[in-house]
Amino acid sequence: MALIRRTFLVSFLCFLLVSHSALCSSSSGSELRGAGATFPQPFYETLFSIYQRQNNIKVHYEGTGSGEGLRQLVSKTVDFAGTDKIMQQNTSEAGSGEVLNIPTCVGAVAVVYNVPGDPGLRFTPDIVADIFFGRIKRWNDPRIAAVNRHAALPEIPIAVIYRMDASGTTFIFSEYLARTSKEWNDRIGKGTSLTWPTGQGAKGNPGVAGLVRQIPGAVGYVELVYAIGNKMTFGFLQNRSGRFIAPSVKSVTAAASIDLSARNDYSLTDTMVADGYPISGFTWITLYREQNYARRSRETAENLVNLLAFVIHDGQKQAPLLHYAPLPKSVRRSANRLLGMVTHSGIPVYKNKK
Amino acid sequence: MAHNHIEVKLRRFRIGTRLSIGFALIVAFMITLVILGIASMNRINDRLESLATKTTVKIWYATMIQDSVHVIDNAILNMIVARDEKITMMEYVRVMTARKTYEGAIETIAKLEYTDYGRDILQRMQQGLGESRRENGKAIELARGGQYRKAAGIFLQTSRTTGASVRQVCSELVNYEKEEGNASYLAAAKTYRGTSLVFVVMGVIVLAIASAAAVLLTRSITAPLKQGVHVANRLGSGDLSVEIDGSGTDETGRLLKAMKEMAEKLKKLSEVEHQLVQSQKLETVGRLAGGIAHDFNNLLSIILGNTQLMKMQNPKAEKVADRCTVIESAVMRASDFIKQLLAFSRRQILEFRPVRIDKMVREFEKMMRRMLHENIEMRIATHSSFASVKIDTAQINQVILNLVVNAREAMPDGGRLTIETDLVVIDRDFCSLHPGAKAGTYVVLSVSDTGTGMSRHVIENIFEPFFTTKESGTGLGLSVVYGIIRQHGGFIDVVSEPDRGTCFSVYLPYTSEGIAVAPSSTGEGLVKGTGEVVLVVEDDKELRETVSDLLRLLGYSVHTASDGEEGVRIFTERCGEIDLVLLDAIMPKKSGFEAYGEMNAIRPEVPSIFVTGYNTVHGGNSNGDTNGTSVIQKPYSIELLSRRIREMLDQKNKETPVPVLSVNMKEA
Repeated sequence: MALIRRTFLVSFLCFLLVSHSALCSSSSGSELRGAGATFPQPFYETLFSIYQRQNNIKVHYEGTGSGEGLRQLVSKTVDFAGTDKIMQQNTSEAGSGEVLNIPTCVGAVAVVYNVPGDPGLRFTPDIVADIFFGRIKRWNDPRIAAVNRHAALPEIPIAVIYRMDASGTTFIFSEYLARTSKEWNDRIGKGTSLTWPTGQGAKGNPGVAGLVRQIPGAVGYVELVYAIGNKMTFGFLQNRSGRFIAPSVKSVTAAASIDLSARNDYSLTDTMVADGYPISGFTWITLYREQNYARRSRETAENLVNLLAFVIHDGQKQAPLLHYAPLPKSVRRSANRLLGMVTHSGIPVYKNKK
Repeated sequence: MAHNHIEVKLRRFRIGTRLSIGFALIVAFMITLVILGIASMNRINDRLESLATKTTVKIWYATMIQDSVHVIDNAILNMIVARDEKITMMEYVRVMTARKTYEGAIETIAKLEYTDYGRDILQRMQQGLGESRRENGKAIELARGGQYRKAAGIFLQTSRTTGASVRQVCSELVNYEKEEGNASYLAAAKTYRGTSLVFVVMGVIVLAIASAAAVLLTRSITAPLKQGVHVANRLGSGDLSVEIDGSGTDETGRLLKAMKEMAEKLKKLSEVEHQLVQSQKLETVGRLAGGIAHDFNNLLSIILGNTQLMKMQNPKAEKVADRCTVIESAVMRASDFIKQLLAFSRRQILEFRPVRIDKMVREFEKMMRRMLHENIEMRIATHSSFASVKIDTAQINQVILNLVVNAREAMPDGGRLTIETDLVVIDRDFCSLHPGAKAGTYVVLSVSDTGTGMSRHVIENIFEPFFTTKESGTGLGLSVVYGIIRQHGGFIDVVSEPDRGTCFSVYLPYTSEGIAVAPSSTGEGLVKGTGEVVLVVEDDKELRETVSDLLRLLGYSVHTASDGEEGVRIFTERCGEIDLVLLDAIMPKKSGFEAYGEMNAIRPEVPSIFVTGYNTVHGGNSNGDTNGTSVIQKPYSIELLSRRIREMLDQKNKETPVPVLSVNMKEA
């Protein structure tokens, strides 16, 4: 009896120890944590699921929005952050060390709407701006009708849905509006969090998608995968060349097929490319260049770098399946170069350079 | 009463102001009502709207959750059935969206939910969703790994059932929200009913207040106007006693005030009128008394003369003489009464003679006692013994009488009346305290009572003519007293204490003149004539005859004339023979004085004697014999007449010794 009891006690203590170490070092061993953008979340989750199956390394990714992801990275609760906007070094907290922004894929922001009959609508940049300004109030507005002559437009009010959390998707979308509308640029500007003139807020890409899906007459902006995944209708947008382009892997890839060495912000919105969809953008994973912080082990740093290498190389072929555009070759090269800069106690972590 | 009070207060403002305030109040009430109405309608509207919105939103979100759960089930089922990597990926996007959707929905409902039961349902739902998410997560992970059969197993075993339970909780929430919405709607409807009731009550109150204000306002204007009309009517009908309330400060108040002032002026006017009438009445009574006194004196003269004739003609008949003496004294008493009557009418002849006041008071005692009721004890204390004053006895008697009557009136329940006399010396100090007093030696006659006394106000006004505290008084008594005392060169002092009594002190100047020994009516002898011719001018036939008989008996030769004219005629005819004229002062055709004037022009050396019942011309001066004239007051005794005639004749013939015949009546 006594022996059984002792055995039980020991095993219980062991269990406690194990679970304690597991709780304490979330970044150690075979587990990685990430948080941030919902824009690439389906892509990441798919890749991480594959990566876990292949390497037995568990990766948790929480779709909290780009802003929250970066905040969690700075507060060291996650190993990496997903963001649709490059984390500028000067905006990060002092003493946190240099960060690296690794591009992972290219996505499109689709203008989704819930209009009865699901007509495929065309939008000019000024119509989009005026809808989000709240000036175009009904779907049968003459201006919408002018560019959609064959569509049956119902006389129902337009309900604008926007992202209420700090979001990279919002950044891409507002950058597009700021570039095409001077008024938007002056009055609202671009950013991850905006003061919207009208509409209702929702959290994350799935939140916006869900609300637009539920509210008749609603209009919102989400990453293409959410639009397609939820079987929602989305608009053709007029690009700089005057062509109405629907978001797709093809049109996004076109938009991204430019010489990015000329510009340092990797911005793809309002593209000059004739076939390019005008609201597309890179999405990034941000991490500290020096990984030896908060008693992180070298193994964790290696696991993280290996994961990111999988994303920018092998994982890229998964992107089109989820309607994301893979990284252009030049970007993939520079991403690879960036990974090589990651160190642990000053010693580079990335080994199997390609 | 409260009504009146408010009305009085209201009348502090002008009618215009009142009306403006009234209308402003009504308008303010209306506006308040409208504002309150709009406000509460808005409140109800908002409440209903928010209620409707809340309920709708909650139901909508609850439905959304149900829908999301369904989408998740559907997506997983698709994954399992399709067995395709790409479909699994895309269906996973649906799952993600659905999860986010229900999370948001739960968050929103939680914000709107305020009942414990509602929160409880939400909590249960969250638990169920968490459970189903874990189960689904396993199934999705297996599907991603291509283990579709295993995933299907887990899904069919657990996650479907948890999903079903979540859906049930969802429908429970929807039903609950619907019920809650209904209940809230009923509550709102109740509030609406309550509000409308409040409105009705408020409307009634406002109506009542407005009506009350209107009534008050109207009354505050009409009531004083009504009073004004009433007052004007009463004043018009000559009723000055109408009470006028001129307390308001508004237009009507001013009107009433003016009316009040007018009424007061009219009242004063009528008072003056009354006083005038009173004094005229007194004047008339005085005239009447004077006339009666004249005739009465004539009658008394006849009675006295004939009595004395009777006595003289029957010197032996003692019994007749006794009776005659009684008649004589009765006549003299009657004469005194006439004098008093004349004193009242102020037509008396003032005869200032040195008199011992003690004696006078004592003699007047009986008269005074007659004036007093039995319950009043009278005490006389004389201390001035031999001091004399130069007074008109009748007038001072009237003074005493007046004071005694006053004292009596002051003691309706009885008391003690004290009359005192004293001799006092008054110095300057006393004079300074008593205006009107002059330093010197005075005989003071005081009349004090133990009566009700007088207030200071009454004392100050007591000597004013027409001032009276008695209902039936003429207000002349003490003013007459005052006038008489001033005529005597004296003054009067009053000391009074309420409920203790009053003392009037009459100060009369002391005189060192000796007391004239009044000629005794019977003791002195008759002064007979020596055949001198006397012209008797007298309109009263009987008196004329009596006087003629008396004069003849005295040894005079007599001519008679029935009036002034005749008298002048006879005097002219018998110019040389007439030695003396006896003239009645008042006669028809020509009065005694007129006749005398004419006679005097013819023969100034002939002396004249006026006989008068009263004398207005020579009032207050009976002693002055001027220009060979003399005055005798009716009724006169034969002795007085004989002596006066003798005196006049002797004066005329100073060089001629006149034999004086002393007649002893008894002896005669």
